[in-house]
Amino acid sequence: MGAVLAILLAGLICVAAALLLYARVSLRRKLETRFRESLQAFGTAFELRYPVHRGQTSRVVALSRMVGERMRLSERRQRDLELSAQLRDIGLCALPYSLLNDRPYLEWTEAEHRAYMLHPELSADMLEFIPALRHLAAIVRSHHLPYRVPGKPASRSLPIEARILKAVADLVWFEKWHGADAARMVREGAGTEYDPKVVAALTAVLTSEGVRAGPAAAVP
Amino acid sequence: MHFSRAGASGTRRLLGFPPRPVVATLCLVAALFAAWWAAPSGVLLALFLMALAAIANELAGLQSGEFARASLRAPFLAAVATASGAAPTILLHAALTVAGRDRPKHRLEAFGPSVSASGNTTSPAPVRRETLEFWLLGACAGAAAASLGVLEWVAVGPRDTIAAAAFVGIYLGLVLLASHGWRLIRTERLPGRLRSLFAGDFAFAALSLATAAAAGLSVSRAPVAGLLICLAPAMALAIVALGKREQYDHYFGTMAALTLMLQRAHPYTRGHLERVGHLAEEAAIRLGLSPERSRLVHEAAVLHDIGKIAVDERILDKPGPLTPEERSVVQKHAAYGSEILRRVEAFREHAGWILRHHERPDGQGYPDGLRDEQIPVESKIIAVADAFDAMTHMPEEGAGRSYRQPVSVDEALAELARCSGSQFDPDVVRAFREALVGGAA
Repeated sequence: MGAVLAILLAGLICVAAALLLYARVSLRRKLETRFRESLQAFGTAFELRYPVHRGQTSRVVALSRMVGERMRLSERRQRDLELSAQLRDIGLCALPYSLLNDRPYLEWTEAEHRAYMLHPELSADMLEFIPALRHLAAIVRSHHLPYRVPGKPASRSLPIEARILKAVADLVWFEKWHGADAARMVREGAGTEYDPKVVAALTAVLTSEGVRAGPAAAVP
Repeated sequence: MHFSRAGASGTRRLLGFPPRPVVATLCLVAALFAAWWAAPSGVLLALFLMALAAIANELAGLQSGEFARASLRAPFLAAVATASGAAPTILLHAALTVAGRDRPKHRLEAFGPSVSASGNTTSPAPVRRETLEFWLLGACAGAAAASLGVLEWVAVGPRDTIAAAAFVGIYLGLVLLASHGWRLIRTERLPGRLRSLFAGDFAFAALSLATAAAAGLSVSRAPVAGLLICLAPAMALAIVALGKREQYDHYFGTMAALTLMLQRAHPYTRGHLERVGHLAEEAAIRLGLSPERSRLVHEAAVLHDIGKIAVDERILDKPGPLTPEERSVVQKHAAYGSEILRRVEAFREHAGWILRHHERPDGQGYPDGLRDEQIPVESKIIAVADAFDAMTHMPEEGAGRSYRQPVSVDEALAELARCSGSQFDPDVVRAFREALVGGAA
């Protein structure tokens, strides 16, 4: 009887260990793949609607990832950052098709700019509907808020992911419209518009090789 | 005591490394890692190991030299049957894994029942790999568990067998509670929907636990061992189920986010997508598709217009006829939709159906003007449900498309019947009508 028990227990320990390994390694890998795939689906949907944004999302995601790594964010935050970089603009779908597609950004009226700047709210409202993504709403909602509002103390209450996104998204946007001046414009905003630490990390990322060869910014 | 155990001498022998138990344990561990490498799901592994535990149990019983008598015992044979049933599946899976990512589906098609939905045409329905494994292993484990149960009944009498059955019930309840109760509470999904969602997992859990309990019963003189045998896999299963749940969460999160994007861009789709989803699922069930497949049709129907996200709403909402250029822009939405969804492995099947949801049996559809037999039946179902809902429902206030008046259900059905054969598949239209009005109308 003792032998039977010993063998059975050994077998059971193996079962439990193998299942745990499976859940930790194999299942996790599968989830990760699915995560990346669905990110691509969002990116495709978005770029099909707004061809003018083509390539931007992937660049923002790549840059945010590198900035996040440089700032040594935890794995979880890193993941949230990447996900919100991908989903930050889904609210733009609620804006008229013609606003982004037919008229260049530099010709927008004041009202059109205001409509455009509603998109963080819109995106966050949409994310609130989805239980699995609800925690990203706070990041997405504040991803265009300035780091420091004049006359008020520097805001530390903004999530770090939102501060990174703000700098990276603006940089990529400037690259599109202002070309080579983009990095300088972001650096000038350090301390007011952008978190200086984020700007430092972003500058370091930009000067390191490989990123320079990213999508060339072109002024139409 | 249904056969004599080795007792204290067995322990001594085990510690003194008699060959058989050691070999058995080594085999068990080796098989375990082989299974883990190839296992498509943790539950498969659990099942396989239950069979191995039964074998180990029997092998341990052999120490006392009663090989002839013990080997006649059916549990051993049943366990071998389970293992030999699982082995081909695992080998098949391993071979397919090695052969490459894209191939499995095509090869496995040969195994699948073809869904003959419209009588004359039969598109071979690609069987999901998980479904095949489920049936193969389910059959093996079910047979093993049943034969174990019957033979134990004969060997040890009804009392112990019933006690073991009670064990199974309790632990099954625990697993289900652990893995699904929380989700039920949190999302308040309908139980029916949940059931269909997790049907595979449910059955897996039930079968593996039944096998485990049967193995436990064969050591029914040792309640602690029986308990552990039941409990450990239950815990492990719960862990895997939690991981699976995360997968499903992500799946639905993606679907919901994509749908929301579309609804924001084109507010008239609000409500329309949900209704089309339900209608399509009902019709699919009526056509004889499996519940699992009908659920996929439901999802595909919800996502069928996702490509319209890339179409200017000024064209979609334009009252009156479209110019040829505008029409060609609108017609691109089927291709856009499949382009978006193709990125996600879980939606790859949906993407194919969505690409074809504007094809017509008479070959006048788009994007490719396919003939009747080339169009997947799922696409035909979505086409009918989409057309029906567009006819019967007034778009929401101020959401475009307001130039059209909704028609009654009867009128819409008459219109579907008029177009069946040309625009719609007659069998799908018939099933749709039956699903809608109930019974053969």
